[in-house]
Amino acid sequence: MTLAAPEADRLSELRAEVRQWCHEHVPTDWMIDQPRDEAGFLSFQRWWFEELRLAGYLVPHWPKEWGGGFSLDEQVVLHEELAAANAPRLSAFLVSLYHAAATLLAVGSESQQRHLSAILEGEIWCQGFSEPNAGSDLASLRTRAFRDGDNYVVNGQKVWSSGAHHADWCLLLARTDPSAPKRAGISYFLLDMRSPGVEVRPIRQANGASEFCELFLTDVVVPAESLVGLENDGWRVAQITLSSERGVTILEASERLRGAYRWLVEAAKQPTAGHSPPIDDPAIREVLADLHTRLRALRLLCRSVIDGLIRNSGNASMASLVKVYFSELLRDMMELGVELDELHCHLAAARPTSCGAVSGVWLLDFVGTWEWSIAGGTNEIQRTVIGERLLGLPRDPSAT
Amino acid sequence: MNSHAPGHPRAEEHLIAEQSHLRMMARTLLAKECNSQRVRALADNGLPFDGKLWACLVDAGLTGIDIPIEYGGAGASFAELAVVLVEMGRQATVSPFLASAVLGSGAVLLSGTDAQRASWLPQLAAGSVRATAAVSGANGRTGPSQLGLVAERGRDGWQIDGAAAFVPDAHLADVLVLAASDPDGGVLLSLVEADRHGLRIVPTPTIDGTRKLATVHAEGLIIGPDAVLASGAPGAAALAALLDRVAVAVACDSLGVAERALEMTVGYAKDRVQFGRPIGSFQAVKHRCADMFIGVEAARALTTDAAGELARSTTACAAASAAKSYVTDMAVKVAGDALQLHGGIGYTWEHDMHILLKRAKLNQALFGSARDHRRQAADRILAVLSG
Repeated sequence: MTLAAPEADRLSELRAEVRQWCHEHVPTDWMIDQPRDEAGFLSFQRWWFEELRLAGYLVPHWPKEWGGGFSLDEQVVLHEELAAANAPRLSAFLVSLYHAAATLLAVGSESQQRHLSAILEGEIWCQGFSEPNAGSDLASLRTRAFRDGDNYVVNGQKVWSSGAHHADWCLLLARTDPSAPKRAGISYFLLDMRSPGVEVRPIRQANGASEFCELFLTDVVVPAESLVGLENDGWRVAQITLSSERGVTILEASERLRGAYRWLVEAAKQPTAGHSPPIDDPAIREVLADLHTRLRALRLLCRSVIDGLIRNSGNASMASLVKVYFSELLRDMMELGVELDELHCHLAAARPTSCGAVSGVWLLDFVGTWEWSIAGGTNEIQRTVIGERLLGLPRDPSAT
Repeated sequence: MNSHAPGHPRAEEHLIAEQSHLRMMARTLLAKECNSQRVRALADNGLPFDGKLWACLVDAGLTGIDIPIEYGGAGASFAELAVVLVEMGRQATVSPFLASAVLGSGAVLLSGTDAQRASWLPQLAAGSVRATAAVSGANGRTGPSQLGLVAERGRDGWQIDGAAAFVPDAHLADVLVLAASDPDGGVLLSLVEADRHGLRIVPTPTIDGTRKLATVHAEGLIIGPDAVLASGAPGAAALAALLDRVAVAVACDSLGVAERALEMTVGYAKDRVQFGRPIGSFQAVKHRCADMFIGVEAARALTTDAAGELARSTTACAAASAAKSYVTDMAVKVAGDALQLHGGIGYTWEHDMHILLKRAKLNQALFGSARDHRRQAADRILAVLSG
């Protein structure tokens, strides 16, 4: 979108300001230097959290009175610059700053909104939505919450809860009316992770990292004032939580791929014994050109989703399209990294913890790409959304 | 249609509304004047010329859409020309529009002197003169090193010999722009009347049929100073810009082909009942349609971006090669999937899908294959990243 001159000036001023700030604050070589153990990872994240908070860059997407108030255009500029500078990602705080905040701001009661101040002080949140038997079919979840006086008593099991082992609080979905149609009997709670009966077990993932956790809930007492919205209206509230993933977070992830592309080009320039570097191979050059074109398309698609949000004219399901496009491009990029690094990439290596999709440990990054095509709704679910909500194709009569 | 000062949101919205108006106007016009029956008649029967359609395009102001108002055009930009080209792809339009409005007018716009612009652009806008450009070699490949026409300096200016193959609608052109390599590594761009002595045009019918191609032979063709558009290094730069222009134009056409193939398929998947339910309710069909849609939307983003670049600047750009390679590949994939999802009916001659598939396949190869453009794009990208 073309902007009026004063606004364009303001954005380029912001860009220069953020660029300068990144130049002064983003540590060089943090990806190599950062501690590999959980405690070290967390203190590194907390340190970076504080840096961003002091700069006023922590919650640009929050309302002004909470220290945010950036327009979407300004958020785009901020994330473009942070990505370009390869600043650390605040992965430990993603659920706090986006999912929890969006939900509390939209439907939280006054007393629930006190958590917003705590989040700004570094309170960590996780999400308790999926269950062993409720993945793609989330609405079939079975964790039960019984009303008992001023409390609810919760029993059940949650899974794929990212960062739950560090979390202070959890966004929890539980069934309060098993006799209602499945979406109509779910309620949304704020769960204190220190409550008796909460047990967290990290799951070691295919890439060796342990960001996801299982959550076992046994007779956990949740005060009734921790119910978000009305009883049995939790499905609607959950949509607010999930839609917080559809804005600038997609753009941020996409912008980071541009950095990964430069690493691929660097990798292609490395000579191998007895051969000219891969960058001289026309086939590799063609692959690099194709990836570059798809990156360009991804960026334009992200931008059009954000323009849709700005003008309030887009279809929210376009985010599904971007997610599929992103995850497939990411996989193909990592596959090229693996190809270029040949057998070297198979040697045991630790992958830095908090760096997001790409760390330069190509094989683990490649394996890690399945996180992006499965988490947050598998690409198959996204294709169903695209088919039904964007193309108007009929629903599968057997899937209700 | 007027051009608008960019940089203001209101102007931007106005532009989007105007493009959407233009899109509907072109779509209505082509649906009426270039329907499937008409396309089939023109595609099957050798090399006729649809004078009625041409007159309609002229009346609608489309033949001079990006020609400045002072030369009798509509004064819009390549972005608006792109809108029309997408619609032509949707309808598999049989017309020398690409040849004349994209190549012919493009060459004069990019490299003509004031006198040449004043003499040719009004006639091109009015459709009273049709043009094309021979910018390929004997194998149809494009680019300065591939040119099949060779220019030598003679006593009265230049002499051109050689042949350029796969030239769109050369047999219908009143004037031809010729790109010839000169002895110093530059390019001579000239504009000559089709009936000139030393110029011979041999039509080469295609299987697609919706695009008409010909080989242009030059034998001792003399080019006087007035006929020279550009030469040497400026000639080479103008040729590169012209090739970007036609690459994006073909990408637009392929986007239209893919859009239409997807729409037909989604419509069919909603109507066609098997096993007691519409086939679009089956995941195998639904997910393939979703992938086709993703491809079309990514292609639309790249095409719009490249068209915008060409509207802003006439220098060669990386966006053009990106769009040409990605979009023309995507259209072949989408048209192929569309044919598959239609099942047996899609494989019949009476169904339009084979027309779209063949057009998409020809677009993929025309004016630089997807592979050529990827390699060209790699040279541009990697030069920037390494620089």
